Amino acid sequence: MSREGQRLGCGGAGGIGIGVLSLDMLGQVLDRLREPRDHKACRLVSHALERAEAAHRRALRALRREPLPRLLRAFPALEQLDLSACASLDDASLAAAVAGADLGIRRVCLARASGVGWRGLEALVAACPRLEAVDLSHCVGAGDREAAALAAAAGLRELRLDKCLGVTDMGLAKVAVGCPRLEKLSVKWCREISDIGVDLLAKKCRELRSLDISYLQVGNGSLKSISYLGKLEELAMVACSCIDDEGLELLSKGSNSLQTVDVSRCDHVTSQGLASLIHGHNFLQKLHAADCLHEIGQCFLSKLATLKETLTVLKLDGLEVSVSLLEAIGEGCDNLVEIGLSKCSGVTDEGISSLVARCSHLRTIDLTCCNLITNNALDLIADNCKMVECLRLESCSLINEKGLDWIATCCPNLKEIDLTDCGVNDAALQPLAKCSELLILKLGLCSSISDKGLAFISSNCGKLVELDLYRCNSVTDDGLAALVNGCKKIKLLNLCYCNKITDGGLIHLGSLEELTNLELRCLARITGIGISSIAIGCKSLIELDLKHCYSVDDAGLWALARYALNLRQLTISYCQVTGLGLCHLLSSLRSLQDIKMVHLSWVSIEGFEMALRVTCGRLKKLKMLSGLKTVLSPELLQMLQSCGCRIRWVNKPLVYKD
Amino acid sequence: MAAEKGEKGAAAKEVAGERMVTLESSDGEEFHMSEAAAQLSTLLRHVIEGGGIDNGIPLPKVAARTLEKVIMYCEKHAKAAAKSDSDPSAAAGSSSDNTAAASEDLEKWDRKLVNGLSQDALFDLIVAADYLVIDGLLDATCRKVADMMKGKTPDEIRKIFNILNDFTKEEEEEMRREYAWAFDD
Repeated sequence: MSREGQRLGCGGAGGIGIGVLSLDMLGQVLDRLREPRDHKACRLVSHALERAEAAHRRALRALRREPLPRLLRAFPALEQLDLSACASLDDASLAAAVAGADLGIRRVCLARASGVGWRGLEALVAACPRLEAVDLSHCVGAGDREAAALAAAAGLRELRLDKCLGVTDMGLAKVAVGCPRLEKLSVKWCREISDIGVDLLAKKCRELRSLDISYLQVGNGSLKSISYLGKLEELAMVACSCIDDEGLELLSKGSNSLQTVDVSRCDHVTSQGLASLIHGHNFLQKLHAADCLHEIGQCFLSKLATLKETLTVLKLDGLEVSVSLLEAIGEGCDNLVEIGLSKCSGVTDEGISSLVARCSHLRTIDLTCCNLITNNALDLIADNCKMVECLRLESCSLINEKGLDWIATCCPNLKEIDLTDCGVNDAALQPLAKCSELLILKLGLCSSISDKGLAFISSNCGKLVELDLYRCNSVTDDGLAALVNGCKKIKLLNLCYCNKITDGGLIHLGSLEELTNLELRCLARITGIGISSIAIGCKSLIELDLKHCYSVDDAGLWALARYALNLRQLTISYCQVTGLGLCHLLSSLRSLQDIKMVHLSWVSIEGFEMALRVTCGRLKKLKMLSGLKTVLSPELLQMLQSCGCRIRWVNKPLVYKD
Repeated sequence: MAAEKGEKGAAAKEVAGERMVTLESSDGEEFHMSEAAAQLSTLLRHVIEGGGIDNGIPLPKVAARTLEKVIMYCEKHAKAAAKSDSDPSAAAGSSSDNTAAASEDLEKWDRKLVNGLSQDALFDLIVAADYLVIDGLLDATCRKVADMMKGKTPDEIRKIFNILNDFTKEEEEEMRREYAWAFDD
């Protein structure tokens, strides 16, 4: 353990002060600073602190490819590398960045890094001998060659290949043979993979603990192979339409340690199949069977009861339920922590009563669209499930402030509540203000919610992180003023169609330093003045939606261009921007990767050309009017696509709508 | 626990049935510490196991006032550990509450210890904890310094710790720009 003595220059009264701490010890102090902002501040204090920070930094999210080679060498202790936001990253630059290095990096994220192919991956694997986890999800062009490159990382334990559409059984086989220590694998959406690939995977990767084969066209044969994976704990097979009860029976005969199974949207699975699955695995903890069952048989119910000790999560969305069913579930599985009954018909107060009477440990209750339930159900939940944290009550229009009052009184741990489309008013928010732990509050389509309600929330819900006021059109600037006074930690805010809001309201929002996602659709009164406040004050802004904000023009977007340097996703469809303004915007927003600009009527074809050229391959997603497809130059479109940009052409009529 | 000035003698004294260890600070003062407490320091543990403690253990890197605090910490934590070991955990239900309350008290004591120190004393304690390899003490002291840095601007940090800004204006501007552009966190 070498200890370099680094002397910090210290001026002033007596003592060497912090200079007595070695680089190593400074590193120990820095390790205990959690916030990236604090690390940033320390870096700028002095050379010695900068050196200490660099020597101890463990994670890096690179935004640019040019400084990559230097950064990777400047941070020798780096273990995690996130390149998903690295603009225009391609094989050449990745390979050049890691060439000849021996890096200690263990985890690499290349999600959506569509410019990276097998050459870059080969170089990465060669330079990182300790590589354990790679995320290549959504690199839709990735295929077997990329899989083969990753297969060279013999120590690989976690691999995500979601939506790597080019991967086939061949690629999967290479990974299976090359990475025998694989523990977590996701090949969601890789629809070229068949039973053959899964079979080989199961034979070679005996350490697999978590496997996701959702949306694949694999059949029962795969389940037979998977049944031999003795250590498998999690299996997800969402929407695997070729799997049926027979397959589940084969799975149940296996010797694995399944704890979590997801068969949501598997059309051909019935409760019979689930019953046999449970028969073979009576330590199941989480069962997701949303939108697949049409009815529940007695055999399933009796088997469910055998999971009494272990079952904590049960999702049965989209099922037709009855009071007796809910009673059976309540009696059979009294250790349930989470229950999903979203869009289940037949859920009544009586059913809820039977359910919660036994399941007092429930923390998450999803009753979305269970529109028969009333305040009585809420009372029963409040009486029995004191630990409840998450309540989803979208479209439960019979409930009101009385039921919510009892919930708020009895359940101090409430963190998330969804009241979208419930028709509640300010009176409902007064009791909710008691929930000081509230993090997520959804009030979309509750048009009676006004400034008064927001003032209630602001008075005590200081931890609020997400607030959805979609179409709460009684909210005005004063409401926002009250909101930001008490809820300073808001990250996600939806004010779409709250058309009374003006620039004054946005100026208040400028004090939300942690705001990352802001949706302001159809706020016709806001202009550049309001946008400037947001751009300057909301330093963490990543996503902004200004669709149909007709009064926002070049001047408004100029402020974004100047200050919103972290912005990654922007929608300016129907805004009053000109070609010049658009060009300036797109060249300045260095982190922008996703832009929707449908119907920019003031932008000429040349304007679009110029603006898109200037993005230099940074864009990953682009949405434009389909009419432009034929008039933009083909080589521009080619250039965009080769840099990994996906273009969505839409045919929207030009109507001024509210 | 400071020994009488000038007292020499075998380090492994038996005091009230507990084996004691003698430590000598950099400025020549002698201190006594129970062996159980000394075990909290990996360095001292190795020395004791190696048997080289007959004439006391010299610690030329640790000053007297720092060593005093180190010994306070180790004795307190050793006692707490001994108490929880001997605690008749027959009352299975309440013992978990007891241990939770006990560790909370211990944390409070740690915080009080580090809060009562001047900056120089705090840094000296970090150096000592690092040298003697006392994980808990290193954690508590480093956490205190980190807390002092939390939420502050570079200027504020410089003021608090009396650090000279050895960046030129251009360097600082360049760095700010670079970070925001290259990785921004």
